Amino acid sequence: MPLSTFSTGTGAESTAESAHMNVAARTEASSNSDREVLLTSKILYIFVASMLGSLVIFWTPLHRLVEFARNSEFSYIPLIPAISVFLIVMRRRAIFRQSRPHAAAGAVILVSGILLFSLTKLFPAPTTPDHLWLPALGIVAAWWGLFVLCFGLQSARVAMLPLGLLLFMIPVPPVTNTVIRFLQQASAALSYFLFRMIGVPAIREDMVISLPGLNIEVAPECSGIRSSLSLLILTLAGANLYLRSGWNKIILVCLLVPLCILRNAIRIVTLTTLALYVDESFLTGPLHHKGGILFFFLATAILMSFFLLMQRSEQRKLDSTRCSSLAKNCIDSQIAGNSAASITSGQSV
Amino acid sequence: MTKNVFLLAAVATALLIPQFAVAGTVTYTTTGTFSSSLTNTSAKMPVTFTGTTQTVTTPDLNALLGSFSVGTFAQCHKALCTKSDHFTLHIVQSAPSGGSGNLTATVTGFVVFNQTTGTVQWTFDPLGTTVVINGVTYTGLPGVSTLSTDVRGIITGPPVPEPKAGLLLGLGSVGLMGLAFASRKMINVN
Repeated sequence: MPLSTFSTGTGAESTAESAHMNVAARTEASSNSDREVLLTSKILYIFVASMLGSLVIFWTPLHRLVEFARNSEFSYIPLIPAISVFLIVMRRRAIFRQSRPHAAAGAVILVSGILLFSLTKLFPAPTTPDHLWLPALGIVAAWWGLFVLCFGLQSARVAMLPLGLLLFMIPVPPVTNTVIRFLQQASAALSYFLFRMIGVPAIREDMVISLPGLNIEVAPECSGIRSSLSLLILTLAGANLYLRSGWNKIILVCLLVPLCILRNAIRIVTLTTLALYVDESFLTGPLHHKGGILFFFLATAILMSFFLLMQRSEQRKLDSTRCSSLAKNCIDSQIAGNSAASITSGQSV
Repeated sequence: MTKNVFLLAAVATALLIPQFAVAGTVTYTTTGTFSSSLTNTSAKMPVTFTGTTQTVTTPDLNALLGSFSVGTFAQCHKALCTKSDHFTLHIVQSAPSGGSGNLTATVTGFVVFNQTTGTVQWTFDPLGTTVVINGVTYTGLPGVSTLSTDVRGIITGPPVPEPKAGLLLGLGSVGLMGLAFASRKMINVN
C-alpha cells in the first residue's frame, strides 16, 4: 500500500477505513468461496450422475468383462475402479483444488471413447478377450472424458495416476503372455545362478534346470504373474498416496521387476533344495501349491521397507525446506519490521 | 474410525474368500474341418461343425469343444446306409498362454431303411488321444447325436501355485486402505 494513503487523514480514521475494507474483502472472498464450493458440489453431483448413467449404458460390456474376469487371469479387473475412486477420494483436496470444467477437451475424449466402443461391432474377434479389449478401452476413455468435462485438465493432471490405473481394466492377453514369458525366463536364469551360488550342481537348458537326480521346469505358472501384477498396482497406488517425488515413484516401480524375479527364484530354489535334500514331496506339497501367498507377503514386506525409506527421506527433505523457508520468512519480517520502524520515525521527525 | 476399518476388512474378506482357489483358467477357441471338403461341412453327409470360444476352470471334465448340426440325409434304400468322414478339431488357446493343436476324429452317419433322418457319431482317434498346448491337455470324448450334438472333452492343466490376482490385489488394497485411513496426515496433498 502506498505511503500517501497513510498521510491523508488521521491515524484513527485510516485504521477504521482499512478495517472496514478488510471486513468487506473477507465477506466477498467468503461469498466467492461459498459460490465455488456450491458450484463444485453441483458439478460433483453431475459427474456422479453421468458416471451412473455410463454404467447403465455400458452395462452389457461391463457385465461381460466382469464375467470374463471371474474365470480368468484378469480376476483383478473389478477391483480397479474401486482403487481409482479410493485414490481420488483420498487426494480430493489436491485434485479438485483448481477444478474448472473443460467442455471442449472432455467432449473430444468422451466422443473418442464412444467411437472406440462402437468400433467393436465393425471388427468381430474370435476370442473373448479380443472381444473385450476394445469396448473396455472405449469405456475407460469415456470415463476420462466425463472427468475432464466436469473437472478440467488441471484436475485430470493431478489425478493422472488414479485415472491411468483404469487402463488395467483392459484385458490384453498378448501383453500378459509377453510379461509371463519374460518373468519365466528371468526367474529360470536367476534360479540357475542361485543354485550355482549355493553350490548345488546344475545345468540349465532354456526353462529346464537339471540337478542331481531331479529335473525341474520353470513353467508359465511359476512366473508369478498374479502376484507381480497385484504388487505393481499396489505400488502405484501407494506411491500416489504417500510419495511426492516423481523420481522416487519411478525408482519404486522399477525396483518391482527385480524384486518379482528374485521372489520367484527364491521360491524355486527353496522348494527344489528342500526336495533334493529333505523330501521330494515338497515339490508336490502344500508349500508349492499354496505357498504363493506367503511369498507375495514376503515381497510386499521388502517393498514396504524401500517405500518407508523413501518416504522418510522425503519427509526429512520437506522438514529441512520448511525450516529454511521459516528462517527466511523470519529474517524477511525482521528486515521489513526494521525498515517500517525507520520510515515511521522519519515521518514523525 | 476403527469400526470403519473393521467393517471394510470384513466386507473385503467376504468378497475375497471365494478367490482362494488355486486352479487355473483356460481360454480357447475351436474350429473344425472335414477332410472330404476341407470346410466345416462334410461333403459326404449333411453334417456341419460349429466351433466355440470358452473360458473354463481346470480341470473341466465336460468342456464344450463345439457342436455338430445334422441335416437331412439322402433316403436310404438298404437296411443300413453308412457314411464316414475324417474330422480335424483345431484348438487355439489364448490363455493362460497362447498356442494351438489338433485332435482328429472319425465322424460316421447312419440312416436306416427308407429314412432320411440320420444318426451321427464321432470318435477321436485313437480313443483317449490328447493334445497338449503349453501345459494344458485337451482330450476329445466320443459322442452320438441322439444324446447330444455337442462335442465334449476333458481339459486339464497344471494348477497355478498362486491364489487369484483378485485375492492378492484385494488383500493388498484392504491393507493400503487401512493404512491410508490410519495415517491420513501423511497423504501427499500436493
